[in-house]
Parts: sequence; C-alpha cells; structure tokens
Amino acid sequence: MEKRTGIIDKKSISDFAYCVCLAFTMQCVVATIVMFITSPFTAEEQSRVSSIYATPGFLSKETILQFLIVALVTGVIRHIFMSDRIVKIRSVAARITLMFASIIAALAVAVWRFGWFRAGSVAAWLGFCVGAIPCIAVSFFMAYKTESKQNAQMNEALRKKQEEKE
Amino acid sequence: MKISFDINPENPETEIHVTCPALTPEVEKLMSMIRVLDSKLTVKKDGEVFLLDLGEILYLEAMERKCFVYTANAVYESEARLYELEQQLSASGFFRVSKSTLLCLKHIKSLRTDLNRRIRITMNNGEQIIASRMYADELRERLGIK
Repeated sequence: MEKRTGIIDKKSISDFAYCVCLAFTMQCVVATIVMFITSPFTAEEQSRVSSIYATPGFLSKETILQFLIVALVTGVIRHIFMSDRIVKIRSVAARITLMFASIIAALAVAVWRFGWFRAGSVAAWLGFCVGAIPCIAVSFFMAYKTESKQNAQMNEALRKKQEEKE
Repeated sequence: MKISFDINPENPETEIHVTCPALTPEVEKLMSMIRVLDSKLTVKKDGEVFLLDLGEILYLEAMERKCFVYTANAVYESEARLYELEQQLSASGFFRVSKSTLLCLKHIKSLRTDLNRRIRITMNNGEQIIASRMYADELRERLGIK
C-alpha cells in the first residue's frame, strides 16, 4: 500500500493568466499615468531618459510587448514560488520575500535589456534600489509577523482543544 | 433487514445480537458501525481483519475508491466510505481536512499557516497533511480563532 505524504493543490492556468494580465495592466496603467503627469514638465526630454516614453503621448508597440514579457516572467516567478511544485520552502514569509526579490531582479534585467533607463547611470540604479529594497524588507517583515502571530494563535487554540478533549 | 429490541430493566447490560444467513457486505458494515460505538474500527490488512482502537488512528485517507486508515506503524484498509466514517467518527474527535482526508485532533502535533489560506498539519509521527482552503477555514472555526 503506497503511503502519500502530502496533498498539493493544483494551480490552474486561469490563475497564471490572471497574474500575467494583472501585472501587464498595472505596468501599462502606471507608465501611462507617469507619462501624462510628467510630460508637461519634461516635454521631449522624456524620450531621452527612457525607452518607455520613446513615442510621446502613448506607449509604443515595443514597450507594450516588453511589458507583456515582464508580466509573463512575473507570472512564471509567482508560479515557481507559490505553486508548491518547484519551491517547497515551508515559511510563507520566506517564499514571499524570495518571490519579490526574484521579481525585482527580473525587473533589473528588463531595465538593462530594454533600456528603460540608462544602464550606466549610477543615480538611476540607486533610485531603483531605493525603491526595491524597502519593498522587499517591508513585505518580509509584514509576512513574517503575520505568519508568526497566526501560527502561535493556532497552536495555542489547538493545545486548549486537545486538553478539553482529554 | 428486521430490527427488534428487547427493552427489559432486568437485562444486565446492553447486548447486540446479529442473526444473519451469511456475512454479507451489508452485515459487515453494520458490525463496523456498531464497533465504532465501542471505540473500535473494523479494518483489513493483507486479507486479515483487525479491530483497531480509535485512539490509534492518526488519519484516514480516501484514494482511488478505497479508504486507508493510518496508524503510527501501519496502514490498513476500510470497507466503509470516507463520508460514512466521517459520520461515525466525528464524535471521537475526527474531522475532515480535505476532500479525501479525515484526521484525529488529538494526534496533531502542530499547525502552520500555508499558502492560499491552507494549513500545514504536522502529526505526532512527523507526517504532514495539508488542510485545503475550505477545510482550513472550518478548522480555524473549530479552534475558535475565526
């Protein structure tokens, strides 16, 4: 008799598609909003700073395709860390942190590869890191605190229930 | 099936007497249900029938139309369906944690939150079982933390 030691919930394709669509839409919306807000002040300077704004007034086909690639990569990373098939780390906080770190690393590659800002600009990379590092730190801290609190609460309730039964 | 009762204050104790022409699956099921009242579960292993103490059972799992009963040292098979066992064993501290698993509360060592609101349950023998989202919420309610 074969003994099974775990039940893994199957992640559906629709979940992956939802994640990709969400990431893609977010990127398009944020880039468009930034473009509309900054264009009155920067005028044509925008196109020199970032390839995202190469075509003033709207996102180019290339940029939209790049966003789609990044969204697909984000979906794959999420699947790797959250589906329980590839990465099997037990701590949810650790998974979330590693997932965010991987997404930010993927974004860094996209920045360099697609020229979203000048790869040689130290100030630009510094700005990127200033945005990314607190994001990872806060997500880890929040996830860790929530997880620890919930685990302690559940185990205390379990002990009480077991004592009641005895 | 004919059911008769002999209620008499002079009877020294409750006695169940089954009269049947053969040991049919229906009779076996009936016996199994009666034994649960006596904290025993009828199970099979390698063709042999055992009367298992409910206290020994860690969890039960339905797989490919069969129901397996897990203790710390062995795996047995039950003739009953999981939903039938759930009804019979709920009063003895067993509850469902997924579509295919029933487990005993007193044999849980620890609980840990898992992804997507699931709960990872570690049994006293170190085995891990995942409570699916729906049943994890029920478990939280059962523990009074929701």
